[in-house]
Amino acid sequence: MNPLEKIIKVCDLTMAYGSRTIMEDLNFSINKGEIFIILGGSGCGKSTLLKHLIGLYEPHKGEILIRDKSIVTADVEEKQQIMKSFGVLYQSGALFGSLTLAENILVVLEHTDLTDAEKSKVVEEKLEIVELKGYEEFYPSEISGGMKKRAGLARAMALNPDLLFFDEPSAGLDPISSANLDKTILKLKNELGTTMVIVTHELDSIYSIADKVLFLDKETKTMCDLGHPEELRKNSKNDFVRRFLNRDGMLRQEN
Amino acid sequence: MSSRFSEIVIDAGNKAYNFLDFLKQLTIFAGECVFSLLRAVKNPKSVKWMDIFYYMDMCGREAVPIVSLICFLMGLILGFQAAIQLHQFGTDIYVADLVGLSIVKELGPLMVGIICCGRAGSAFAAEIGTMKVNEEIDALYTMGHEPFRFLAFPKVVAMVLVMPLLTIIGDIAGVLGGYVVGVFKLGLPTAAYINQSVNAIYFTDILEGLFKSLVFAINISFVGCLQGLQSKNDAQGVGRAATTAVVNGILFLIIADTIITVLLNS
Ligand SMILES: Nc1ncnc2c1ncn2[C@@H]1O[C@H](COP(=O)(O)OP(=O)(O)OP(=O)(O)O)[C@@H](O)[C@H]1O
Ligand SMILES: [Mg+2]
Repeated sequence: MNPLEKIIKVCDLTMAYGSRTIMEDLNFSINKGEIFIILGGSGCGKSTLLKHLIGLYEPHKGEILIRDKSIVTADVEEKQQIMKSFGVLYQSGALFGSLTLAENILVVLEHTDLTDAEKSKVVEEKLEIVELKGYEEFYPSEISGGMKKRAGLARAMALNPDLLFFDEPSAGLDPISSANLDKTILKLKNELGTTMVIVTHELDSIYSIADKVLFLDKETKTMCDLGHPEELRKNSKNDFVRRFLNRDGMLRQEN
Repeated sequence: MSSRFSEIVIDAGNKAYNFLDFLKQLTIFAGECVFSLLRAVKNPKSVKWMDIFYYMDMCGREAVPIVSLICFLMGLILGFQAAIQLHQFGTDIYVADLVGLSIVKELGPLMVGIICCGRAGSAFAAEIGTMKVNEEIDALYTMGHEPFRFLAFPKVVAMVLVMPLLTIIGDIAGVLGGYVVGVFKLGLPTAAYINQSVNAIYFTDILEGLFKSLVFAINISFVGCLQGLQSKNDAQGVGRAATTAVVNGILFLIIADTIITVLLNS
């Protein structure tokens, strides 16, 4: 298989809520097996971009291809087929409140033809990965915010999809859990070749996991840089990008 | 002046458009439910039976006291009003007919419908609206589940099962209310009152009421779920969705009632 196969292609994407444009003219592609990070200030449209990539929102303009199939023009059936092929962790976790953690994961497995024993094995295995073993029978309202995030992560990974979308997976996690999460992400990449698209603000994890970083700029409403974090840190033409990656002047920038 | 006028026209146009859009959504929704039903019959394992029981309990059993009380009082009020008029003609015994038929054919199902709309319709809308705020609907969708099937189906089925039962309970309570007036206020003999009621109410009258309650059940759950799915992504949006579910639910209920009554009695 071609290692540089493009799994996602975005062409001239413009996103808007009604008449309010969020981002314009986004052009990028994501290679297979790559960890692709989306960065930008709060409220600049990272979650919005993620939701466009997974086909929940319709672009104002432009095209999004997932494995060379357009998710924009796909009909309902095709769209469902594409959607089943990836996993998503939402910013809020999006666990089903009326179901226990175990049942939340089982919802994903419903379409598969695994036996009940195999299903509960998957549940156990995935909760173990996110350090939530023993919480199978808890309801989302009974666990903390960070735990919800991790449970959402377990659910996203339930089917071992080769494409994963994470919206701020480490928000609300302590540094150790966060580092463990990075390890899990790297393991998925190295062992299973999973492609991951991640929204995050954690510089440490960006340096340790990212293959490519996409910077979104709220002011100009478009992408301002794209590349490997180390390279961008040294060579980016964009002042904001260099400063961000050098952990420098973030406060001054804001004021 | 003219801009004010055009504003009003635009507003009216928008409202009409939104209403038509709502009707369109409702039709699509009805189609999806029929589709889900067929799928469920073909593949009973995919149905969330526990969910159906949960909603039957919530919309059915928990509503029994309030339904009984309101229908009983309804029967009592009707009985009182009728007694005053009928007493003038010396036809006290016809209180049984009047109360019995009004309750069974009309007020029983309608009262139950309005109570269920306030209880279940708003609960459905709030529940689904909250799920929307929490991105749970998005999550369902990307997991390849049809949100309609997953969320609305158990609710619709539960309502269709419990509303006729509630209506029967309401009918009995209502007739009992009339009986209390007839026997304790007008001094009619118990046997005479019961006999008169049994003779007045035909089986088809009961069926008419039950048919209405079925239509109301579908109407209430449809409108509730749909308002929830269309709610805005914030707390106020959810509140609004719950309110609209009740208001629109009752509106459609009365419209449906009118149509059925006219069709069945002309
Ligand atoms: N449903 C919506 N309707 C209208 N505008 C929206 C909606 N959701 C988000 N927005 C707007 O779009 C912009 C981008 O929102 P988004 O949630 O994508 O930001 P973000 O980059 O993910 O921020 P954060 O880092 O805080 O999560 C925000 O300015 C927000 O006001
Ligand atoms: Mg976000």
